[in-house]
Amino acid sequence: MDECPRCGGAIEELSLGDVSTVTCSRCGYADVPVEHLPAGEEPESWRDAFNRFYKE
Amino acid sequence: MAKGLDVGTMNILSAQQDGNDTVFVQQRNSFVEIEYSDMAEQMLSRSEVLHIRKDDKVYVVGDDALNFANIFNKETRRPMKHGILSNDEQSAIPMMKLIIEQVVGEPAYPDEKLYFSSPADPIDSDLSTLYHQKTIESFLDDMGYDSEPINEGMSVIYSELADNNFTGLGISFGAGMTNVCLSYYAVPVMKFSVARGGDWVDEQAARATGTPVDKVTSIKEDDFELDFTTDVGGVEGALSIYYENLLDYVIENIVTEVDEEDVEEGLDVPVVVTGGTSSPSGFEALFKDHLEDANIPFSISGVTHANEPLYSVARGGLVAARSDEDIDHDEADEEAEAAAANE
Repeated sequence: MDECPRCGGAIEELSLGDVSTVTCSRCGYADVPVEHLPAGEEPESWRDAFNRFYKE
Repeated sequence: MAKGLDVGTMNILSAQQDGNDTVFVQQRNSFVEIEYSDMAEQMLSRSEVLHIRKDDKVYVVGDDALNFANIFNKETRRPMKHGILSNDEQSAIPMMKLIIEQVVGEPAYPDEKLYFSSPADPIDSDLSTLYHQKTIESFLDDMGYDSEPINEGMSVIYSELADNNFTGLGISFGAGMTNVCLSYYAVPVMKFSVARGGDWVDEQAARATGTPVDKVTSIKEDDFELDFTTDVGGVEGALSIYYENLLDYVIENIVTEVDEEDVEEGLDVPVVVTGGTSSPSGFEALFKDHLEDANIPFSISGVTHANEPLYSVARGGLVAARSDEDIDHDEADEEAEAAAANE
């Protein structure tokens, strides 16, 4: 990747030991996605909570 | 397996279990820029100094950055300030990503649990910690971890107060900020941070004595000791004065923030102090003395200083991650048993 997909600027590659990353010095693009979906965990029902309580 | 990660303004540390031992990997969260030459890069590579080459510059990263800054009379650059990503440092994100990846390594398996420390929003400034927290979480998830933030003060409780049912007051004196958490049976009752820590002490001492900040940091970390009486003058004299001021400031804020109602009547609360800024010899005695003088609205059973103050937060993250991983495994086992019973 030579061109920043966000702003078209030049992408720089940096490496440190065995790890590397890319960055755009113009817009800060770092090729790391950020999740914006809700956590989406189903709330536990009272029935399940009671069952767990009696089992313990 | 599971991991804990302390994302600190001065140091980034990971913790993982290896048999009965906890293994820590540490890297200083700073870098310094030096001019590139073939000879310089050869010397750095031969000396195993962690560095990044970019165009006509070389960036020395981590523990060696402070030494190079002092030798070349330059200032270190810091990806974080006041406990969160620095808005003054253009290279903050790639540098943090590289240092974090280097410290935690690849996950042992997909979605390995990792708890990383995140500060509470400070009560003495309008800084928000959300951007920082979400960015670090994204780095780790992108690497293949199932990451969760853990409040830094709560991490101290997990690390140091297991023998007290995770009940007590944990105070983490970090470089960028100080985090405080009051927990009752592992449930945080009250948590806050103040945007003052070791960096504030260093900056004030540097300004007062006309000394470069990195030099002050080196003196503080080498052989600086706190005592009830010190001599005025010099970096050590200034450090003592600002350390005492930091302690008073944190205690004043605890008095303001903790209500009597937060603590069960008749309960004596243990207090544990930790964090890299609490490392100088004499810190614990000075803190105890100032706490006794303050009008704390609850009874304190004792004040202890963590045995390894630099490692507490990473260890607390590991405790939380392992506990979470056990729950996940138990649930998976139950689901497998239920599926087998239905067949």
